[in-house]
Amino acid sequence: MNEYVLEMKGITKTFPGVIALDNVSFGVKKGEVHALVGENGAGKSTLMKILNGVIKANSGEMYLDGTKTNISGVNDAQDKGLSIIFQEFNLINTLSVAENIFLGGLNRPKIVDWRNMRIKAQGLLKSLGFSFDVRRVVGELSTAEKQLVEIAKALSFNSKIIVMDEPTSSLTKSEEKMLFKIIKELKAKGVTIIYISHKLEEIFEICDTVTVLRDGKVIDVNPVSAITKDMIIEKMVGRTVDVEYPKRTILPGEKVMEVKNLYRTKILKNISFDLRKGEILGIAGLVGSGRTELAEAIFGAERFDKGNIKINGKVIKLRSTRDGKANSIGMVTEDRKETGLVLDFSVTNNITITNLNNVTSQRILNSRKEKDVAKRFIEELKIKTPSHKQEVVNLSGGNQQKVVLAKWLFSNADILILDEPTRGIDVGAKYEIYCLMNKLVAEGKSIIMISSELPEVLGMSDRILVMHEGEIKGELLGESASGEDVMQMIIN
Amino acid sequence: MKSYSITNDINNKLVIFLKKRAVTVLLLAFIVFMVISKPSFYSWGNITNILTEMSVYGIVAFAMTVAIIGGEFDLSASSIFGWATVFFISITNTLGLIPAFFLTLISGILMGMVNGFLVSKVKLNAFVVTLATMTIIKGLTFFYTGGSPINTSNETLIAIGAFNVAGITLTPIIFVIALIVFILILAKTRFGRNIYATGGNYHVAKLTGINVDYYKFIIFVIVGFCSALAGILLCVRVQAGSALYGKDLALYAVTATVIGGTSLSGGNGGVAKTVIGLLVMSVLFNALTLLGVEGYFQQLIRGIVLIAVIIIDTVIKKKNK
Ligand SMILES: Nc1ncnc2c1ncn2[C@@H]1O[C@H](COP(=O)(O)OP(=O)(O)OP(=O)(O)O)[C@@H](O)[C@H]1O
Ligand SMILES: [Mg+2]
Repeated sequence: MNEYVLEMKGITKTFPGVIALDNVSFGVKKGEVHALVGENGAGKSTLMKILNGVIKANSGEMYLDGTKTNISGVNDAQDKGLSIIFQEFNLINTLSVAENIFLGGLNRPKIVDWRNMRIKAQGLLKSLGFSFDVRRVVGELSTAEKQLVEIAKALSFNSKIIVMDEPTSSLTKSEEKMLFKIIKELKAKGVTIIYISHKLEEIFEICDTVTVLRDGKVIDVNPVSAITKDMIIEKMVGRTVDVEYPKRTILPGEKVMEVKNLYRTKILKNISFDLRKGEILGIAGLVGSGRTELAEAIFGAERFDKGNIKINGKVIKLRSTRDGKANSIGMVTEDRKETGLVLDFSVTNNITITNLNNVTSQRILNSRKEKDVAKRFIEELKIKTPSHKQEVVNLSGGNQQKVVLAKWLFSNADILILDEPTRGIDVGAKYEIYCLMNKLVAEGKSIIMISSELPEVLGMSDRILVMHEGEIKGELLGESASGEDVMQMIIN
Repeated sequence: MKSYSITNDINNKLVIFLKKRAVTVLLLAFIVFMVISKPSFYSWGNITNILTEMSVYGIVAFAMTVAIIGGEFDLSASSIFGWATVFFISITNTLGLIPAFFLTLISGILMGMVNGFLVSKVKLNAFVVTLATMTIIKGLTFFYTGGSPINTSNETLIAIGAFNVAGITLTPIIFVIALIVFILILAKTRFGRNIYATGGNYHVAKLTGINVDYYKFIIFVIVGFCSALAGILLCVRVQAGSALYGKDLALYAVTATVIGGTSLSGGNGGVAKTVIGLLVMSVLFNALTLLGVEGYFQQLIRGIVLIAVIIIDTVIKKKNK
């Protein structure tokens, strides 16, 4: 008897200009939670897509329960007890939550029993600690809610092996806890889980074994008990990296933005705050607390019913994002696929789109200038891509996120709203992005940062606004605040 | 290990090249076949004939390509074209050539503005809107002419129609100018890039601060303008207008665009590709005529070609995912 429930041997996968996986061997034991870690673009998602029949390897073999197996496609994989929570959501925006959970896969019924389907869907979400109306259309959900639907969908197959590709990247601590509880329950039932994450603490909380990938090769396999976070990072990156939050020396200056009594029925309740020059203002809160809605209102992407926003002392009109941009506001949105990137566009075209005037000479686009801009950001943010002409749809998740950041950095806005800026970005690159944020504020720009990762908000912000149910519950100083302080404010 | 990945790379590149250029390769093969089997195909007269034939509709196909890149399409191009022919001839007969030229273009622009307004501001579906305006404009044209074609004997117009350099008339020249202008606008201006972005992902474009509604609007104005211009160019050739002219134009323009390789999903492609599509259509139908295939049968083939190309387009899209 083989102790491995799954073995992949000698897997190689190339794309034009890229060797994504180079002779990778990967084994998972029955009933374990196996972490798969590595830098952005290391090949994690590619390996898991091969496992689930989404794409085909150039060469290599696969064994399930010790027998050689061929996976011909997604349905075949589901048949053989494999399911996957994709890093990029695979939901149909125009269908309801319940339909998305049950109508996608093999367990699709011939005749739909709507009532039963809804009850089951509700049950699955409840087990995740969430109850929202499963008749809601997925397109209306927030990123975190979509993530939960994606998780529920994978659970609905009752698979033997479940792959989770960054399931917590847009969840806050409390939803994360629920997921971990479920993972532990699944494990107790003998289900095997492959867990991909850039939040390395999670690995020590729930995983048994960790495999590290670097540049498409397996670098190391270890029981979690025999390894530390620093060791993992070193193996991932190939050198030691800073994981602290970089310090700033400059203090915020005069007020650049004043938000007064912003009100939107049921969503925002009389929000008031200021933002200073050279300041990083963090916004903390649970999923659904109205953080994203507030950011969208400030950028002009969503309307508000009452209240006003002043920039440099003058009330501004915000009828659309164009007005936002005209007032030198930029916003990195939280969902790179739906709202961040034109997936068919090249890396270059996605970056320059926010500021085309900057790359024209006599009103004609200058492709040399565009190329230079793209190359500068590819270097600065270490975007892993075979060329600046690569379509972003072909980049790994974390590298796509870097393109979204680059796009708004190039817009040269004075006020930058960052909604989950480091979502899906690896530890090493995160530090670089924090340094970049510091550089921006040192240049006199101001940043509003929303993040589900509390440590990041605490570590980077000058001040933190704590939001709950559309209200600002209070304000904390970044230097002295702790996670407990934030949670305390939310509860009160 | 390395050599393996390099050959693999070359393989990949060849496959990608063939996929991208499949239509061009087929077109060339077909031309070679025709040249060998039908010497009359290869005569200068026939070549200029093909060019002139495709130029009139080609200008509209360019505009349609812009619309499709921007994520829309416009069925009313057919009716605007027909309207332009009768309106232009009738004004030529009353007010003269120059007023006719400008008034016809303005009427095309106005019709495009109505479409654009209904789609971008009222947020109606382009299919429904342009289907409706197509019918309305056609009705208007019939009403205007009482149903019968109208002619002109304006001598300047006849002279312009007869003007040519080595058999090449005014229409292909304007076609080439339009081609260059559209290539420049789409590839080299902010305006063009924003149309791609709007069609590529409306939501993303909007959140990037692009005035998406303006681009959705202007797309229809471009189609209206080009349809009217093409109508005038037809009048230059035939000195007549009829409500029946151009009834297959919208479908022709969409087909040429898609055959050329601009995807119906929006956000990519270009007018240079559409030239390939136009060549395929004209060469194919010219050849069919030379080979003595009946008109109704040609229509059938046209339909089949369109569906085949759309299927191929969709399959390639899926494969690449
Ligand atoms: N469809 C594709 N076409 C071309 N290149 C691809 C494609 N999919 C992935 N790649 C490349 O393969 C490499 C591995 O990508 P993969 O998505 O597996 O990375 P990852 O480890 O999941 O990274 P992340 O942490 O950013 O999600 C990357 O360099 C990526 O650019
Ligand atoms: Mg990935």
